[in-house]
Amino acid sequence: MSARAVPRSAEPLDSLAPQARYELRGRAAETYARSVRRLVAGGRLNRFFPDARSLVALFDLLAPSGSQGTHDEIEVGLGTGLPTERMVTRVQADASIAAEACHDAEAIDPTLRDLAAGANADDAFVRRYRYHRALLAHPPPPSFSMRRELRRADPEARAAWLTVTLDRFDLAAECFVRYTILLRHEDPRWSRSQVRLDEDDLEVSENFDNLVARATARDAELVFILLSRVPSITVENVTRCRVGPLWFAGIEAPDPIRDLLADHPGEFILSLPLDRADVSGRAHRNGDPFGLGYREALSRAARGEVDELRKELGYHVRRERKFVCTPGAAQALRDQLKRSKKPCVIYEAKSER
Amino acid sequence: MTQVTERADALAREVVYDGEQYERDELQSFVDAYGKKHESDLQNLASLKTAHDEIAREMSKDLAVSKTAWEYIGGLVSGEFTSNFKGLLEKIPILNEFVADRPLSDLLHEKVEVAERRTREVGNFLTTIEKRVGDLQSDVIRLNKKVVVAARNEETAASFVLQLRDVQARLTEDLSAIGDDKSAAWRETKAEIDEVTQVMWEHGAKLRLFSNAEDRITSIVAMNRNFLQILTNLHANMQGLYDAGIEVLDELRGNLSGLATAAQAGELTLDMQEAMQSLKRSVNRVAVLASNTSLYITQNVERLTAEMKVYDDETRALVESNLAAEREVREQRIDETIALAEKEFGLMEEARTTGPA
Repeated sequence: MSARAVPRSAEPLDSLAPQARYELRGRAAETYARSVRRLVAGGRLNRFFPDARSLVALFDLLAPSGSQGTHDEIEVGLGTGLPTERMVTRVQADASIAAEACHDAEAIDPTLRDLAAGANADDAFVRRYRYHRALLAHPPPPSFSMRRELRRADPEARAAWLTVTLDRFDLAAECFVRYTILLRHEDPRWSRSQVRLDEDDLEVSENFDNLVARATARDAELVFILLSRVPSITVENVTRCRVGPLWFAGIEAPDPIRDLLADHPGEFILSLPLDRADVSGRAHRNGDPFGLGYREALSRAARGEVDELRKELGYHVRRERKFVCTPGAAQALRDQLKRSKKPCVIYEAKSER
Repeated sequence: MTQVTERADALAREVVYDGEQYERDELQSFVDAYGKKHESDLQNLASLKTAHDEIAREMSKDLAVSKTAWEYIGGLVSGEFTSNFKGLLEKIPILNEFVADRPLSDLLHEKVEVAERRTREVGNFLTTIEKRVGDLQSDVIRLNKKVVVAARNEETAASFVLQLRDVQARLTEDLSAIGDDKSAAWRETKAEIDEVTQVMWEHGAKLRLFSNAEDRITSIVAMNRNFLQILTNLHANMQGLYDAGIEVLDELRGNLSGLATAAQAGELTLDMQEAMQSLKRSVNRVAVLASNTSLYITQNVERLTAEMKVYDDETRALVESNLAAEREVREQRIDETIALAEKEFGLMEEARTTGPA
C-alpha cells in the first residue's frame, strides 16, 4: 500500500495518562489489593486478555500481606484506579532477584525453610524469605513479552501465517494489555525477509519484533493500519484487550459511572475493554459505552481518509466492553448500561468468604 | 576454729561453679568451632565483596547505558533526529520496516526495570547484612555472658586454691613440728597433705581451664566485634548505593510517564538537559561509592585475615601452654610416683639386707 501519512487524532484515544497518584497504606492497601484480585479472578478473562493467573498473583503480591510486610504501600493512579508503573515494576524487580535472594538467605540460615513453613514468623528476615518464595511460586506478569506462533505455511508461495501475541504493561494507560495479531508474511524477493522458516522452525528477525512493538502502542485499528503499511505483511486481525481502568469512588471515571459510585461508595467496577480490526468482520460495531474509537476521535475531514483505508484494507472494527464489579454495584451498573442502550456483559466478583 | 576443723572443712567443702563445667576437650571443640565459623565468616565477607562488586559494576554499567539511552532520547526530542515527536500531533510517523529501533518508551522502561532490579539487589544485600549483624550481636551478648561466668568461676577456683595452699602450709609446719616420720601423727599429717595437694591440683586445673576459657572466648568476642564493625560500615556504604539507585530511578521514572504520553513531548524537551545532568551526577556518585566500598572491603578482608592468623597464633599458644602445663603435671606425677617407688624400693632393700628385726 502507499506510504502516505495516517491521520492522527489531536487527543489520545484513551483517557489522558494518569499523572496524579494516591498512596494507600496498611489496611487500606490490603483491602484495595484483595478487592482488585477478586475482580480480576472473577473476570473470566479469555485468551485474548492478559493472563489472569499472573495478574491475580500480582495483586496478591502487592498486598502488604502478600509481600509479608516487606512493602506496606500501594500507589494507585487516579486516572486508572490501578497500581502505577512503579508498583508493577517493584513486584517484577523483586521477582527477578527472588531466586538469588532465597539462595543467599538459605546460606545464612539453613533452617530458614522450616522456619518459613511455621505458622508464626515474626522475624523480618523470615518474612522476606517467604515473600521471595511466593514470588518464585507465583510470578507476576512481565511488563513486555511477545510470542509468535506459526499457524500455516505455504512454501511455494513463500508465505507464512503467524499469530503474534504481545503482552505489555501500557505505560501511557498504566494497565496490562494483550494484542493478538493474525498476519500473513510473504517472503520478499528484493529485500531482507522478516520471517524465515527452516522446516518447522520459525525464525523472526529482530526488525520484525521491533516493528510489532512499535506499532502496538494504540488501539487495534491503528495497529492494523500501521502493520499493513509494512511491505511483505498482510494483516488479518488485530485484537486488543485491556484490564482496566478500575473505577471506584475518587477515581477519574465517565460521568454516569462517577454518579453511580457516588451512590454506591465502597464498590468497585473493573472495566475489560476489547477492540478488534478484522478482515472477516461484516460490519463496524461500537458496543462500548465508554470507549471512543480511533475514527470517531478524528476530525470530519480525516475520517474520510480512514474510511478509504478501511475499504482498501477490507477490515471492520468492533469494540465492546465487559465489566466485573462488586455485588453492590451490579444492579446499578446494569440499569446504567441499559439506559445507554449498549448492554454489556457484567460479572459479579465473588466474595472472599 | 581449730586447725583440725579447718582442714576438715576445707577438704569437705563442695565448691560450686556457675554455668558450664568445662572439660578441656569441650573448650577446645568450642574454640575450634568458632575458628571454623570465623574462617567461614571471612569467606562470606569475601563473597559479599564479590556480590557487592558485581552489583556495583552492573549498576554503574546499566546506569551508564541508561545515560546513553537518555542522551539518545534527548537527541530525538531536540530535533537531531527527524520525525517522532515534533510532528506527532499532526501525523503519526510511518512505520518504516528499516527502522529497527524499539519503541523509546519500551527502551526507557527497560532501563527503569534494570535500575529497579539493581536497587532491589542492593536492598536485599542490605537485608542480608542486617541479618548477619543481628546474629553477630546476639552472639556477642551470649559470649559475653560466658566470659562473665568463666571469670566468676576463675575467681572461685583461685580463692579455694589459695585457701588450700594455706591449709597445706600449716600442715607442712605441723609435719616439721612432729619430726618423727615413723610416728602415726606424722603419717596422718603427711596423708592429709597429700589429700590437700590432690584437691589443690584438681581445682588448680579448673582455675587454668576457666582462665583459658575467659581469654579464648574474649578473643572470639573481639573477632566478632571486628566483623560487626565491618558489616556495619558496609551497611552504611551500601545504603548510600541504595539511595543513589533510588535517585536515578526517580529521575528515569519522572520522565518515563512524560515520554509515554506523547502530548507532553514539548515539556519533555525543556526538562531533558537538566535531567541528563542530574542523571550524570547520580551515575558518578554510584561509581565513586561503589569504588570506595570495594576498596573498604578489600582492605578489611586483608586486615581480618591477618588478625585471624594472630588469633590462630594466640589459640595455638594457649593450646601449647595448656599442653605444657598438663605435661608438667604428668611429669610431676611420674616423678612423685618414681620417688615413691624408689622410697618403697629402698625400704624393701634395707629390709632384705638387715633381715627381720
